[in-house]
Order: sequence, then structure tokens, then C-alpha cells
Amino acid sequence: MKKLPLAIAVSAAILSSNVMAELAPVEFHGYFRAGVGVSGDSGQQVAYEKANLGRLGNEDDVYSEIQLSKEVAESNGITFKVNTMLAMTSNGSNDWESVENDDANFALRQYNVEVKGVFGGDEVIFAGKRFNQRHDVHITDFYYWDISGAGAGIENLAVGPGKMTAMWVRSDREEVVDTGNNGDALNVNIIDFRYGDLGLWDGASLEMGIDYALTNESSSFTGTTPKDGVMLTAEVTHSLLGGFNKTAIQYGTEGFGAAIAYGGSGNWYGAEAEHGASAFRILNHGVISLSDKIDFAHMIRYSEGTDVEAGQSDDITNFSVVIRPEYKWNDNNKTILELGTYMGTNADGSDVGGQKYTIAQALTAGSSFWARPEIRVYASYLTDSETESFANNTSDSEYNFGVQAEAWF
Amino acid sequence: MINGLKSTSKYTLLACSLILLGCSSTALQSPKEKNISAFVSQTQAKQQLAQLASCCDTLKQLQYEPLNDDKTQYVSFDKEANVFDFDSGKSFYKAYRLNENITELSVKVSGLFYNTVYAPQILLLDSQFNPTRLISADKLAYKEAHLLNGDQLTASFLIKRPNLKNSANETYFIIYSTEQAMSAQTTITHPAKLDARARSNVEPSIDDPIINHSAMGVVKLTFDLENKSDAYIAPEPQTYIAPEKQKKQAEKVLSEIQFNALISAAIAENKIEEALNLVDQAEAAGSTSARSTFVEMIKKQ
Repeated sequence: MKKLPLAIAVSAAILSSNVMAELAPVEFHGYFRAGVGVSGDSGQQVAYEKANLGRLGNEDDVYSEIQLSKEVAESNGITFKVNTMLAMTSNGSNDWESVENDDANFALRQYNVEVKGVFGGDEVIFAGKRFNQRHDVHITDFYYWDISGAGAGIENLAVGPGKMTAMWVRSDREEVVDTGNNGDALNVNIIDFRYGDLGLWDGASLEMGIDYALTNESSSFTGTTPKDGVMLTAEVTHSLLGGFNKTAIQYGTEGFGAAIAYGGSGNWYGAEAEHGASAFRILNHGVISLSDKIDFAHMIRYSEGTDVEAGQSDDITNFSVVIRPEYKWNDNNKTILELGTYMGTNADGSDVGGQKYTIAQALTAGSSFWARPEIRVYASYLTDSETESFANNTSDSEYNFGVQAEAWF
Repeated sequence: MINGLKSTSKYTLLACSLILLGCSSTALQSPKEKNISAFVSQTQAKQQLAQLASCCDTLKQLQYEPLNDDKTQYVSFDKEANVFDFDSGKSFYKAYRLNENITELSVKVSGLFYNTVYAPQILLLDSQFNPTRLISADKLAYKEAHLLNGDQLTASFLIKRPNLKNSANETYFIIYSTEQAMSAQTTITHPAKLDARARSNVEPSIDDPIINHSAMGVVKLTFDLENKSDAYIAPEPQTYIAPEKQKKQAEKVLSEIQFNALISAAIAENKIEEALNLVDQAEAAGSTSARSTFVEMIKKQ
């Protein structure tokens, strides 16, 4: 006789008492980074253009997320899961960092219910505050497609050869005042459709999506009627050398034009852009293993925005390259280099640019690029190629050194 | 000048930290690095095993080690380990003897993934070397890396000896692998996906690594035990069992009633995972009442 999987048999036998849900463990996930460091002329270490130059040896904050999740109920093969996440951030300047005087800030980043298997597959119907379909570049802490927030939707719905996601998320815009709306900010609703996991050739897949931002001014709104906008994204993911390589192309109009021009990911909509803004971004990033001993992560990104600001004289451009080779001495010790450079132009025609050179020695719980926790001792040299932005605007270069811990689990 | 001094001291501080980290690293080695000879390719491991002769003719003759005090042990199955020709094929093995005063022992056995993995199978024996239970290598659960644990193939079992004078008490257990398990593979979750999950990001849609099982590797053992102070001395085994007979007995495992008792005991102590394991084992051995026992006990909880 072929045996039924035990879990199914058990749940069928004792559905009423919801034993399986009770047996489900509390899932504990989290992330944090924290450390200590000094700079040459600016007192404590400085953080400079992290999204353009890379994060290693370039973070001056404490940031943590604590996530607790549990399947709380199970009925006819449908599971109900509650996810919670509290985030905390501070500058790590003292032992006692409380919310007094904003010394530390706490945010309720996730509180949602996920219902899985309503149509008998892996699809998840969700509502509440949630991290929704976030795409990021780890080494620059850069999120390029992410519409997290309070909302509802369905994801992972099998349709044809791929999987579909549809979401509705609120993203009110403070920069556009609407006293008729709760919070005095313009109400913006983002509708997101994605179709992903589409196999291309061997080891490659495609994801495409469209985001609509629908502005929803109240009857007491008095200003120029804000415009709705669209953002299109296509991303190809390859399995490559034990890791992956991703290429993403994005195009946005109106408030999404502003978002792309200024490094946004779709979870904020620049509704104040009222001059017919448009922008595109092209991004290639990944992590690969060049040998047993060497891992290599990189990001190359270019973006260009037109008509984002009033009286804009030049296109807003940004070009950034960051590489991070890691040499593994053994399973727990790495030497890491991170090199970054960027250049760009502001809406008024002024140029921006800079470089970062970081070397770090790390003690890591495993040899993989993603192995954490990790403690790293680092030294960074930072330069601003256009202005003197360091040491109270008296210097065009600065260095950091310090020790930082990072963990996720 | 003061600035210069300040910089120098900062650089000195940095240099010191780097040196410190570098020095401390020499003592820090992962279980894989400490037993690097166990992590050759699947084929090489197979060849090395083939060259070695079986240590003994019967299970009774295996080299049983007493449990030492370490609650967590990393055991290497490499060419220094003993070899026995089991029914399921030749294998490196480790064999353990329970100290006479142990009334309860909970054991977690985990094969650790690196470039290969050792898929352990566990055979338990009573004081007369009669097989009582078999936890088959293909019944092990793959556990994704989480917190400080890497990827693992895991099983756990519980030995209860409320009456230390019972000669049917489980007294020995052997960890080995099977020919079939050695040539199998396990797909593990790509660490980039685990990272994405931990931070609620989109998991990259990429291939998961497929890891070959091997005749060699490292197994992590975690013990949790209870002692009785009035130690009972087990009698010397009195009957010699011919190898043929022993092989037959290897297929015979605990009785249905014994299994049900173990399941009830495990649930009573809230060791649900263990109970589930036992149900699996009982059914593999032909039990028809293990599942309903499990359900009944859970309802009572």
C-alpha cells in the first residue's frame, strides 16, 4: 500500500482541533546591522552615497528588523498565517537609545495575514502591511522594484506557464498637500500586476510588470490636479556560476518618472512632478562564484529622467558601478574588497560624482557569499569628485574605519 | 601635527584589529575544514571505501564506543573510520554503547552538507545485539540552513529505558550509510533564496544546488540524556547469534505494541517531531495502529 504523507493523514484525521496549526512553529526571521567606527575629519564614520558606491564600510547606522510569523489556522488545506515585523533604527551613538527626542525610531513595517492555497495551489491572498515583492541589490542596499505598504492582493497565482501577482497598495504623498485626506497628504493608490517565473532558455526566466499610480484627491483639494503615472518593468534572471545574474529595465511616467530619476522603487509616487516627467533605468547585478575561493558581486546601473522638475535644464542622469570581490581564506574568514564609482547630473545641470574604496576582513558563519552572521573590520576611502562634501564641506575626501556586524536568518 | 598623530593612531588601531582577526582565525575551523579528507568527490569516496575490508563478521563484533560527555559531537566518516559490510552494502560506520545508567536518551543525527553529504542510517540494537529499530537513510528530512545551522539531513530518535534491568532495552546504535543512499542526491535551497526569504525579498528564480551523497562526510550528533544514579550493570551477552540469523533479525524491528508505547511517551512529553518519526518507522515495519495511536494521543493533549 502506498503510504499517504503523514502530515496529510494527520490533518485529515483531526481537522476540527486544528492540531497542525498548533504544531506549526513560530517562525523567527530577522535582519540587523550595527557597529562602531570613526572617520578622519568628521568624528564618527560617515555614510556617503550608499546606493551609488556600495554599503561595505559605508554605513553609520543601527538598523534591525524582528519578524515573527505563525500559521494560526488551517482549514481544508488552506492555511492562515500572520506575519509581524518591527523595525528599529538609530545612529548607535549611545547605550540607551530610546524614542525620546527621536534618538531611536521604531516602525511597524509588517502586520499582515496570508491565506495560502485557496485555489488549491501555492497562491497567497494577503492583506495588511507587508513587504510586497521586493527586488533589491544587496551590495548597494538598493531596492529597484518594491511596492511595500498597506494593501491587499494575490501573489504566485499559476496562470499559463508563469505566475501572476496583483496588488493594491496605498502610498500617500506628503509633498502634495490635501487637507481633505487623513494625514493631509495626497492619497495615492498603486495597482501592481506582475507575471513572472516565465522560463526562457535553460536557467533563465523572465518577469514583467506594470504599476499604475492612481491619484485620488479629496473634494477639498486645491492645487493643480495631480497626474496618474505608469511604471513598466522587465527583468531577466539567469542562474550563473553557482549564483545569479539579473538584468532589469524600467520605464516610468509622471510621478514614477520622478521616482526612477531619484532612485525610487515604486513604493513612493512623486505626484508633485507635473511637467510630463519620464525616466528609464537599466540595471545589471548579480553574485557569482569565480572559483572555490572567490565570490564576486556587482552592480551596473544607469538612469535618466526628463521633465521631472520645473525649469529643468538637463536630464537627470546617474551612472554607477560597484564591484565586491571576496576571497575566502577558509570557511570562516574572508577578505573583501568593495570598489564603487558613480557620476551624474542634477536637474539644474550641476554634476555629481564620487568613488569609494573599501577593504575588509570578515569573520563569517560559513563560506557562502550569503553566509551570516558576519563581523567585519573595514577601512574605506571616499572621494567626492565634484564638491567638498566632507568634514563640514571643507574636504573632498574622507576615510572611515570601523567594525560592523550583520546578520539575517 | 596633532592631526597626523591622530591619523597614525587610528591606522595603528585598524592594523591591530586586522591582525587580531587574522590570528584568531587560525584556530577557527569549520567541521568540514577539520575533516577535509571526508569531503572528496562522490566517486573518490566510493573508491576509497571499496579498497577497505570489513572490520568484522557480525554486528556484535563492531567497535562500540561509550557515549562521552559532549552533548554535541561532529563525527567524521572518512577513511580512518571502521568499515562493515551491512546488508544494505559496505559502509563506514560509527557504533555507540549506551552507558549502563542511562534511562532516557534523545539523539539527533544530522548529515552536514558541503560539496557532498553523508546520508546516515541508524540501526538500534538491544543488549543482546538484536536489532530493534531501523531509521532508514531515505527517511531523513532535509532541513534548510537557518541561524547558525547549515543545510542538514536530519533524523532524531528517543531511547527509553525506565527499567534498566530489562535485557530488551536498546543498548547500542550504529550510524552508517547504504549503497543506495551513497549514490543518491539531495537538492538544497540556494542560499540567495534563504537570504531573500529572511529579508522578505523576492527569491531569485534560479536553480537550486544539487548535492551528491557520499560514502564519506561529517555527521553532527546531539545528545540529550537522563541518568539514574543507581547504575545497573548489564549482563554479558550470553547467546551467540549466527551471522545468518542476525541478518534476518535486522529486518525484524520493534513490535507494534512497543512502537505505540514509544509514540505515546513521546507525545506525552510534547516531542511531536519524534512521535511523527516513530509513526513513520512503525509503518515502515508494518504497523497498522501507529497512526491511530498518534491521533488519539494528540487529541488527549
